[in-house]
Amino acid sequence: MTDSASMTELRKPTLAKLVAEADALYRYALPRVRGHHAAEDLVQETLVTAVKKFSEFQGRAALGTWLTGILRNKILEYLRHQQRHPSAPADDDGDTDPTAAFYNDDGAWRLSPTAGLECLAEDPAQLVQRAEIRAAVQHCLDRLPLTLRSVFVLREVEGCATDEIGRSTGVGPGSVAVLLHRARQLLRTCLQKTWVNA
Amino acid sequence: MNSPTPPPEIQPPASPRLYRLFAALLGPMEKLLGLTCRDFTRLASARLDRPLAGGERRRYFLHRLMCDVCRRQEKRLLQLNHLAGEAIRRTGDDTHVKLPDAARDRIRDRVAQELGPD
Repeated sequence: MTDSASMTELRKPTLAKLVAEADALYRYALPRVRGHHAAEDLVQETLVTAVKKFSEFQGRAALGTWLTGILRNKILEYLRHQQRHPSAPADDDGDTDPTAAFYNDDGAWRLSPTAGLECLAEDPAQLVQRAEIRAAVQHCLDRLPLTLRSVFVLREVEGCATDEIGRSTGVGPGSVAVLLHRARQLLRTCLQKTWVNA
Repeated sequence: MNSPTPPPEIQPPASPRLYRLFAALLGPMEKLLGLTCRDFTRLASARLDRPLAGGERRRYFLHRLMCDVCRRQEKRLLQLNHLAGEAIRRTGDDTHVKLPDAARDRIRDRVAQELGPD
């Protein structure tokens, strides 16, 4: 491809090139939000934004990398919006501690917090290659209340700091810590149940 | 995840007699000092996100020293946290996951509309 042809391509994206990236964008979005409709909408918003801002694409990175950057910002906006304006009634209201039943009155474990999690002792790099492991994690993540899911994804997948999560979602830093703690414990219990029964 | 009750299939902690003996003997005092397994688990989670303050750190390490069940739980919590984050990121590699056809058509139409005529 000549330089002028390359520049022409940079100025105007083709429909085929953009839509060809849609599957990869969808795979990126799907595990980060709850439900395929939300993932589809985010892919569409990303591609529309890409068309509008294509003049900003310098061509230094691959098109897919640039689009994923846009999508990531869209996902962060979506998660923050979900946190501030939940579309469904909250199923994890802050006054009720869903982990309270894990302990007796003196704060000691009622049931083993590690039973069923023996497979975690395996090499994490190998473990994450297994589709059934990823499916179990996704299943349990999708069963988390929406607020807990959003906070967990922002922290553990997107790597946001807790004060950043607090600022963007309007939740106090102390509350973010509580929500993260609950999310981790509920995820652990769900995976215990999944793997103990397997 | 609506029911907070732990699944019945999961058994009590390993060496339950020993664990329960210690819990019965030390439980009320630990509760008073903020040194229970519940407190430890909260601190172990907080430690993943921020450095613990002086008092928290002392309580955390004191309980950690005493409680084998919590030590193992903390290790699993770290592994699980890492696995969960990595598993979600890796889902993007599953090439068999594709956009549904109806959604692809809708997105193509919308993007074409945005691109306008040549």
